[in-house]
Amino acid sequence: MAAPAIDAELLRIRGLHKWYGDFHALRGVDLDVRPGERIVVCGPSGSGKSSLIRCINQLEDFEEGTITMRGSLLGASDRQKAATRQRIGMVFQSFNLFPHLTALENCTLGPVQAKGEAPAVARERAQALLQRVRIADQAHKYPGQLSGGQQQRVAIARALCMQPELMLFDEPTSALDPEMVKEVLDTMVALANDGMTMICVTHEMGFAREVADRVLFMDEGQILEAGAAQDVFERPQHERLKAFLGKLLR
Amino acid sequence: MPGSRRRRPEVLRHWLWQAVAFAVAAALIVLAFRATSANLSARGVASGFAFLEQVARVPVSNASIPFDPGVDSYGRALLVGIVNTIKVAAAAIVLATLLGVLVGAGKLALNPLVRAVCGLYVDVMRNVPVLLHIFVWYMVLLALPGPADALQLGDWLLLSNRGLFLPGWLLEDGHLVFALPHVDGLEIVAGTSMSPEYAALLVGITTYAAAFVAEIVRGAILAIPKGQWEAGYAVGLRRSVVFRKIAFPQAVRSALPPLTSEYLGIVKNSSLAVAIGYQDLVAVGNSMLFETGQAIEVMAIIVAFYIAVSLLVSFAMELVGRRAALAQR
Amino acid sequence: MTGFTASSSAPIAAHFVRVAVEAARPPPAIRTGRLERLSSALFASAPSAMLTLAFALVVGWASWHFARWALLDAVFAAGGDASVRCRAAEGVGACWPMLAEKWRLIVFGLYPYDAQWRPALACLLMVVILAVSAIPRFWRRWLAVVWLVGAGAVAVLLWGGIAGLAFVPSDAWGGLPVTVLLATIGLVSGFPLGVLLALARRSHAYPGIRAFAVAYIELVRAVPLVVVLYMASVMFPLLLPQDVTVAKLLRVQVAIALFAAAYLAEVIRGGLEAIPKGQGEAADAIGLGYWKKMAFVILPQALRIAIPGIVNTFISFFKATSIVVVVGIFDLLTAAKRALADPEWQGYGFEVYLFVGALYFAFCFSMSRYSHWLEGRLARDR
Repeated sequence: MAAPAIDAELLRIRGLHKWYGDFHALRGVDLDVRPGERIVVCGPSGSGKSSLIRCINQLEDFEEGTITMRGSLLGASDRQKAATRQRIGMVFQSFNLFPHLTALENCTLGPVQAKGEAPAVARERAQALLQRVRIADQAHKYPGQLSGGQQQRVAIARALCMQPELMLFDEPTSALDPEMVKEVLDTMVALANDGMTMICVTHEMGFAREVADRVLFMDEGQILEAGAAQDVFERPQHERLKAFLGKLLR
Repeated sequence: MPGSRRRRPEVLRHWLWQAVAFAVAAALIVLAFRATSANLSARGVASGFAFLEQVARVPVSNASIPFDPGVDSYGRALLVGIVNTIKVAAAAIVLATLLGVLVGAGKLALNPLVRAVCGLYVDVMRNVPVLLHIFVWYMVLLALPGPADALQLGDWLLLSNRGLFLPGWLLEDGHLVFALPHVDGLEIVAGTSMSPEYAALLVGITTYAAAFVAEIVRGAILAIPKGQWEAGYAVGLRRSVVFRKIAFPQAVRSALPPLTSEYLGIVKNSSLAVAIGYQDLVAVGNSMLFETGQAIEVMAIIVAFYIAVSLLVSFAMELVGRRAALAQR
Repeated sequence: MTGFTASSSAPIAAHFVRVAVEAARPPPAIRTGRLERLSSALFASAPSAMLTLAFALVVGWASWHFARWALLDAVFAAGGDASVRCRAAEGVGACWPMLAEKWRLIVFGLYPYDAQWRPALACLLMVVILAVSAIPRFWRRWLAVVWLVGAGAVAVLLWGGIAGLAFVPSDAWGGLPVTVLLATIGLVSGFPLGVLLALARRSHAYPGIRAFAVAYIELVRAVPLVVVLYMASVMFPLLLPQDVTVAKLLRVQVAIALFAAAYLAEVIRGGLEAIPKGQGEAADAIGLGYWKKMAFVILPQALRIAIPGIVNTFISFFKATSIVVVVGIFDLLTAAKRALADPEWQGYGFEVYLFVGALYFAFCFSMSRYSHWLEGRLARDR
């Protein structure tokens, strides 16, 4: 078996352990992510799914283990963290749009302030991205004037405006009213089809089936089962996964 | 139905009670008025506001607008007082806000030394009465050397027991010149001068109020949801940029009501001028009260002034608040 | 511990199952020492390091000069020639013997020297009763009895004239007891009026009363305390016939109480507004009248919520009593100024103000700590 080419991996996590005080939240997570790969993470609440992806873009610190991106370890200083986060986009469950800025300004803040881009260039790209998520006509509205689904799509555009190599989604549809879930999922499907590498924490099984290259099942801070969406959902092997799916599909 | 509710006997009873209460209050006021008038006329004190046009006999120091005792009226003296009050209150509001924002941000800094020093500042300044602040600064300023040995800080600041002197516009030989302060024999010539009384009042009020502004700012920043900070970091922004562009604009909105209270407090604290001889409105009013004996009229003017200023400041802050709210929608 | 690698040669759809679930273990011990962590926080980046250096320089310079003045070059020993030695050290070192000589004048004013234990005890009594009254658990009927007995005890201690205690007129009271007295009596007597004003301001049934309450509160809050004190000391006598006089301390006390009522009213109103409407509706449904509803259902809850605000108001008024110096009432700050007026001890203002400042700080800081503790307790007991 030929050794894997290191460059082929976008992200490599080895032996990741994280504690919140005395609580052992992540217990030895190993993961490789290749460019263009779409990964869905599922599992019961408290299983560490959010902690895992928040460690990837360094919103959380971890006590043991390594994370490397394209072969180099993620740095610990504030400047290095900011540089890492410019390459990774994140979409939050509660959108976290900046209420005092318009949709367009939400998107251009990052490129202009963090990358030093010219405002006109950033605006052009932001406009194109808002077009891509089908919300270009709301560019000059404030988040308070948009629906939940519209806000989340602006949040996706905001993350894309930084031109990231990897997109992280932390339960992006869990806080939405049911009728708005579809518009956001359609946006994410389109994004996946354009080749974006993404790690998505979600309960939406239909989305996972359609888009995911791999589905990871996590519980008690570790990956217990992983494989193709079809295998994981229809032929679960681990006891916990069977129990989880049973509760979910009832 | 609303119409029938109005005719219920309860409402009539309420109005009856209120009418009785007001009748009693009115009677008391009339009695007080009659007693006061009797006392005043027994002491030979005049009534009415005509005294405002009489010539004042006592000089008013620290006059910002020209005032000539023996020539100008009491009304003008009060005007001097009003201008002085506004001078110190407006300057204190601006300076206290600037200093308060810096100290408040410092209390939230990552650097432990900065945090400790700012925390110490707030705790010490807040727990000592503002009048004590003013007395201490007045004592320090009066202990400065005389004009001949005035302390010089750079080219632009001269400190002596005659006051603080800064560069400003001067009238020299009929021309308007921008000059640095300099010593001329036993005098100091400068464009901008602050008497020790004014300086002590300003510095005392400012350092005291800045501690409260710092806590208001800190509270407003801490009230911002953590998700806002995380979203800023997730887009690759540094902590200082997230603070400037995301946290601070949102904090301003929630900080406005307590800031308004604090600004009104600054205006009220300016009245402590009377304790160190700075001629603000209360100080001028006080000496006028003793000269003319027309306590009620003078007090009424002073109270009316403070109510007017209070309404003005509240209204101005309301406008600022509306502008900030529009920006967020 | 098994790993999972998606090597490029392995099929993408390789299925992985972890059989043994790893158990939790305690977090690794923190290996960086506290000093190391502190220094890394101080010098984390170039701007941070510069700030640390700048602040350290300023703090070091100020502390060094203060230590030199207060300790190294200071005069400590009392004795006959202390004033001479102090003069020699003037401007360079502190004169602590002056403080040793004057501290009782500053703290107790002109109260007879041998009887100064009486105002000291009265202060202690007032502080203790106040501290206890702020805890909702003690809001029982016997608290009112404690208040009455306490008030009587304070009056007896300060005035004397009975129980073998010499009579001391209120003109002779001064210093810290006057400050504590003005603040305590002011807030305690202003409290009932404040409650009434707060209720009046929220009254829907009596718009006239509400208008009056609004006018009173807004008027009093717009005006500085100095003006109110002048009104009390100058204008109030004009209302009375020329031969009737009321002691100045009493006039000032009443003025402070009326002033405090307006501020307390706003704090209590905040507490009232935090009570859900359902509480009032439930009380109405039981058939309680307005006053019973307020006394038994609404006010106990509202006052509980308002306690931190009320304590903060007390702290503000404790500091604000220093303003009575402008109307000639002998409080702690006035005592400081009187001490400085002694020609033999001219020029030692720094020592005196430091002492008085430390006293105010001690009181106000402990009161605010108490307020925080109370807030924590109240949140827990909910």
